[in-house]
This record gives sequence, C-alpha cells and structure tokens, in this order.
Amino acid sequence: MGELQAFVNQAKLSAQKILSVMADLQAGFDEPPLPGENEIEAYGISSIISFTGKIKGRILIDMEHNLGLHLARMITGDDYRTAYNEMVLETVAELNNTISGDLVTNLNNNHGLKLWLSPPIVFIGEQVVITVTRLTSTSLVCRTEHGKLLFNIALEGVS
Amino acid sequence: MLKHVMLVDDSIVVLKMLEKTLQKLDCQVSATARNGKDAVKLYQEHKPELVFMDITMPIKSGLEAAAEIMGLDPQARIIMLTAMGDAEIMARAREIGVRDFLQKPFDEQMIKDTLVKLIKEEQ
Repeated sequence: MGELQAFVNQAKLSAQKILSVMADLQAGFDEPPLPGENEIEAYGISSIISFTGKIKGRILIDMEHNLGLHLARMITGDDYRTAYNEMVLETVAELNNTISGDLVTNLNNNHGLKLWLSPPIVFIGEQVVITVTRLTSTSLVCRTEHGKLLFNIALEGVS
Repeated sequence: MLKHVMLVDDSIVVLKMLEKTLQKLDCQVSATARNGKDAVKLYQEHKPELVFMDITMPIKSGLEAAAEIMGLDPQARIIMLTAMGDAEIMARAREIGVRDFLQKPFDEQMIKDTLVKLIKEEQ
C-alpha cells in the first residue's frame, strides 16, 4: 500500500474516533478522496500540523464556522457567539492535534514511520485560499450534522 | 485529593478542561505553563505535588522539560499528556522517570483512574 493511501485510511479512522469521543459527533466520509489541487478554497477555520520522520508532510483540517462553534461548545462547555474567538480557534487547533496524534501513533506503531508532530497553527478568515505546492496531496470531505470538514494530507517526495 | 498541581500544555483548551476536571476531583491547580521552559522555572518556584505535562510544545518539549525537572528533583511526579502514544515515545519518557501517561482525548474517569493508581503505587 502506498504511503498516501495508508495516511488516508488511517485519517478516516482517527477522525471518526476522535470526533465521536471529544464531541459525540458522527463523521461521514461518503465521498471518495479527491486528488490534490494546487489551491484549496477554505471553508472558514483551518489548522495545519506538520510532521517529520521517515516521511515529511502536513495535515490540514478546515471546517465551516458552525462546526467550529459546535465543537468548541461541546469540548469546552461554553457557548460562543462567533468563531472569531480565541477558545474556538484553540479548540480547532487541539482537535487537529488530537486527530493527527492518533493518526501518527497508529502509523508509527503499524508501519514504523517514526513520525513526529509540530505544534498546530490555526487561522480564520473569509474567502481564504490555501495553496499547496511541491507536495503530493489528497483531500477528504467529512460531513457531520453541524457542518463540513475537509482533511488535506500532503506528503513530500511521494508520488 | 491534591493541593498543588501544575498543568503544562500549549493549548488553553486543554488547560481549561483539565483544571475543571481536577477541581471536580478535589484537586487544586496552583500553576500553569504553556511551554517546557516556563514549566521548569515554575516547578522550581512552586514545587507542585504533581505535574501534568504535554509532550509536543513550542520552545521546549515536554520530554526535555520532564528530564530537566527530574534532574532537579528525582522525586518529582510527572504524568505526560500526549496525543501521540507510540511505543518509542513512551519508552523514552519512562527512562526519564515519568510516572504515567494520559493519551488524548482523556475524560474525567481516565484522570481519576490515573490519580488513584499513582496514590496506590506510593502506598
């Protein structure tokens, strides 16, 4: 199995598990993975984690504002009027950290990839376009009852 | 249960969740830090009974900070918080002398079980 496929398969499992445990949310990955585009038009709140080890790359999570607000409410126990709030953004960053951690742990234990995560960054904006260059990537669209979430997994030096 | 607990994590969400849960378990948080460098400094100032420490943090990682704290105080009680539970990291942490691990996402029962286990092991 290629590296990217191994990442994609595990990403689905990790996302479903973590969203269920942290926020009691069912995540559906009904669409097939999308081939990597050079530009991604963001849904609204995005978080990126890089990793290094036998393979280098990064994991991008991007979600609609409503989903971010719902997750922040479920995880912190507080309500927020707007996604432009430090706790909402930190929730998205921590969610990415936890999903990516589970993904990387499984890949390390099952495939010996010795991957190590960086701390996440998070950003929010209107009509944000994220460019992906020099990396092989694939996107997964995840639907929940509170909004959509996109995973983009990009690996360096992999075809 | 414990009067002086220190929390170290670069995520304010995790700090908030942990503090709320520990208060429910009758534990008091006396210090928080958001990176390993501040964790070492605050440990020396506060000498907490227990430290919950994240592994992946900016400036200085939790493993580096834990090693430094254990060097300063071999009796320090440190529980690592980690999103990454792979065997190699856990082995490195055990060599440093940490007492236990909590893999994220953790809930109230997991934290309670960890505290009870720690206290039982010391009795």
